Amino acid sequence: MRPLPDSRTVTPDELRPAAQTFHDEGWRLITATTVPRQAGRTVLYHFERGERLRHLRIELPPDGSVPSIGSIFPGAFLVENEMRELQGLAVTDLAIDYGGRLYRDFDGMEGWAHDPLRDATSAFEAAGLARLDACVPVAGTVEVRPTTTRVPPPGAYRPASGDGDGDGHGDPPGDGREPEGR
Amino acid sequence: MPRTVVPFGPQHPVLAEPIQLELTLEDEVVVDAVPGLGYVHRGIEAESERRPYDEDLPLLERICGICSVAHAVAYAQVVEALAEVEVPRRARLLRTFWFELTRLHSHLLWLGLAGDAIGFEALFQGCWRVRERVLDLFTLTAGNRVIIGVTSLGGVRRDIPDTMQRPIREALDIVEREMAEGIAPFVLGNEAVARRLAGVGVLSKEDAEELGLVGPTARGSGVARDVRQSLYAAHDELPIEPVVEQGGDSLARTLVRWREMADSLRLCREALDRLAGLRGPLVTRVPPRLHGEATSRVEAPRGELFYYIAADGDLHPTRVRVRTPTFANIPAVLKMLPGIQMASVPIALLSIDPCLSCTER
Repeated sequence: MRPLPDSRTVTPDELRPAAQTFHDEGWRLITATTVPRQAGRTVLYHFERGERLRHLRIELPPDGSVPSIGSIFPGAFLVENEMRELQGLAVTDLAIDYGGRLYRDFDGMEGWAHDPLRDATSAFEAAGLARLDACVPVAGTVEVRPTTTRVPPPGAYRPASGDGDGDGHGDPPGDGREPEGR
Repeated sequence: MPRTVVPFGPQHPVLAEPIQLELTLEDEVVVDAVPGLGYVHRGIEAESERRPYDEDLPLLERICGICSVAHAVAYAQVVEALAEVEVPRRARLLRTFWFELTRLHSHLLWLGLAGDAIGFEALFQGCWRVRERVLDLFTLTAGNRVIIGVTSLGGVRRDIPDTMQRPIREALDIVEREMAEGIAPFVLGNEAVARRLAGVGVLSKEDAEELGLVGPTARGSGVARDVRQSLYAAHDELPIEPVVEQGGDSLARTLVRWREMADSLRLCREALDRLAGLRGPLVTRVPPRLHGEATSRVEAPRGELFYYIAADGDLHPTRVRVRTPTFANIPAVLKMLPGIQMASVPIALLSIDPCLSCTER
């Protein structure tokens, strides 16, 4: 693959000194990119000064990690948290660590089991889920469960059979039998 | 003093799209803010790595309904860089015309929403009425109001014939007149707007440079950074000077956008001037298989939009990376919120013109 022009390959240990040099020379960090490879991944850091771009490239094994450059470029914390949550890249010594909670509705990497209570993104959500868990389904009513935000299977919310007093509230139309043709 | 954590969003009247800010308050004053994203994450980057390059264009164009032209041009440019093809001059001028119209309607949309956020409904209605004129221009020239789909790999899909120049120029004149007569009195020198925006969400020039902010958010803090100074679309022959304000507050960011709208009208007219009588192809053929790595940047209405593509010779890209301006400006919100009143959080957040559709690509 023809690499980006003006890119330089560094090791994870060389990343912070190289980033410091860019910072001292007045370069701005645009963002960072992870690129999956057959063996591991490439991490790219893109810098800009005026109309010029420069890139730092790190080739990582599958279990490799990169150090945070958030203490050098204060705006880097957001993309570093994002790379960790969306691409599963291990970033060490994060300047601001959201603990995997930047992307709130993301269920994690493959093989990672989502637990609504454990992964509740706020005390409000946790309290709400706990209350839902405590609900006791009542016969004849729609069951309330924490997973009701998902699309229900067809037929899950068929109308209730009615209260039988004939006042029209909760009673099925007609004689209560399924209409023909269904 | 005891602290209270208040969730601002993801559903909030001032937000058209969902984002959460967990605000820690002391009394009514914000002392900390933690962002929460992911409520409308669509996985478009991952999806685009499974499609051929030409099918990725309409997909990536739909990352954002407001600045779809910016995404289309940025993606087309990175593919053209990989293919090492040159876009015809006429196509570059047409891209610039539609790009600047996009900036115009995006800023009008934002100004209306900002008016709505501060309870100034007349400003909201005035801005959106004028914005309709711009959307009518999209309909006239491209056939669509919002996602206009005029960009293609290697050029553009549509032309603007010389016979259409007169109605376009007349429409631009009407937009300019209505902005001057119908909106300017509500914005410039209006005491209510000034009191509501001045001193809210202050960002120093040092903060803007340290955090790597982009677009009107950076320029409102005195950072003269505008990708249009670089070479993209036809901005090599339509030079601009970055619009800069020194205040660093929400009012400064508003004034930057206001002045940029006048600049966009000028650039549209200058693009039309150069298109008049110009003949030539609209598109250069791009091969279906690409190899290598490339980046591109454009100045979207909210700031620098960055695209990166890695290609290994297959029919589809190996990696598509999109860094949107709102993502780059979220650190600005986290920096400006501590110390301001809870009641000012909505307009401070809006002052960066957040686009969650872009951020949640």
